[in-house]
Amino acid sequence: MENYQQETGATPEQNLFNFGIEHQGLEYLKSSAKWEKFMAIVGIIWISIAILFLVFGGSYLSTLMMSQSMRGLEGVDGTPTALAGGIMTGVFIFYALLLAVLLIPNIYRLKFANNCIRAIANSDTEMLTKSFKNLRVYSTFWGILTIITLSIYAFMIVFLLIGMATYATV
Amino acid sequence: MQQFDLEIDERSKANLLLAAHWAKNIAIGSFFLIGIVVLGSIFLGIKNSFVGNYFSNSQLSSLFENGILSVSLFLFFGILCFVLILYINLLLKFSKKVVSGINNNDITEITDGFRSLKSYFLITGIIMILGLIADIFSFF
Repeated sequence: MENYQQETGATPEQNLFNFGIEHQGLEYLKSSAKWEKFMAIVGIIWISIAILFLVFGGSYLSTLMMSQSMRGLEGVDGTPTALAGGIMTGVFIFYALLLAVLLIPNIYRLKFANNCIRAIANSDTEMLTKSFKNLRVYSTFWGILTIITLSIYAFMIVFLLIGMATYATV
Repeated sequence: MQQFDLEIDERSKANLLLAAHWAKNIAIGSFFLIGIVVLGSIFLGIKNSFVGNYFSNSQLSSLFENGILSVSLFLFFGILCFVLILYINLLLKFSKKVVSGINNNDITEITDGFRSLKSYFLITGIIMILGLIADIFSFF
């Protein structure tokens, strides 16, 4: 409760009042949940196909990429060396992990949507709480990802400026 | 006492507040990213390195020299940025309305927040459908 008070600034007396969502708000929530369900399902299918393609089509992709970007790493007879193979495996594992991480928010958004639709259909407060919890986890995930992306951009800009300054002084 | 269709309990309020907090962070971060892209484009545009070099050997180069394509690209990019800002602003609106609605126990504001969230998800869904159509066409 103390934690809640710090976050909301509301006193416990204020919270004793009956507080809930009216018909219009429920319509908005239902519509949001339906779109979220659609996007979550499409996202999960898309990522699963990409992971399957990486796992089963890996050898085809590595041959294709090897011929395009790994020139110089072939052996004497033209076959790929262990180094080239290792690099390609590393790249595939990185992409597979990235895709697996991107599955997490889609699972939470699907949970939010399902719980929200069920809560509205059955007027179930407990289910609504669960759905908002999933929405919270989903937003937290994307929030952290946004901060990481911004940090990477900040590093890139700093290194770019250092590079330009060094180039100018040479 | 007013009757509501579905009650929001304390845990829901706390969850909504945190979701709104992170939504605000996402919106501000996205504004920063758009700003970085716009500044980078202006920088590159002034140096005329990207467009000039990229199309220098193509038939489009004469159009760039006339400035027709440059202006069109600039206008298209400007409109795109404006639409993106309006789109992300929906997320910021959701965050602000929900936080102020919970703090003031005002359900009208929370409903407004949910309306912004609905519009945000609707636009995201439409963008996703367009992306899927583009993906399908890219196979042919």
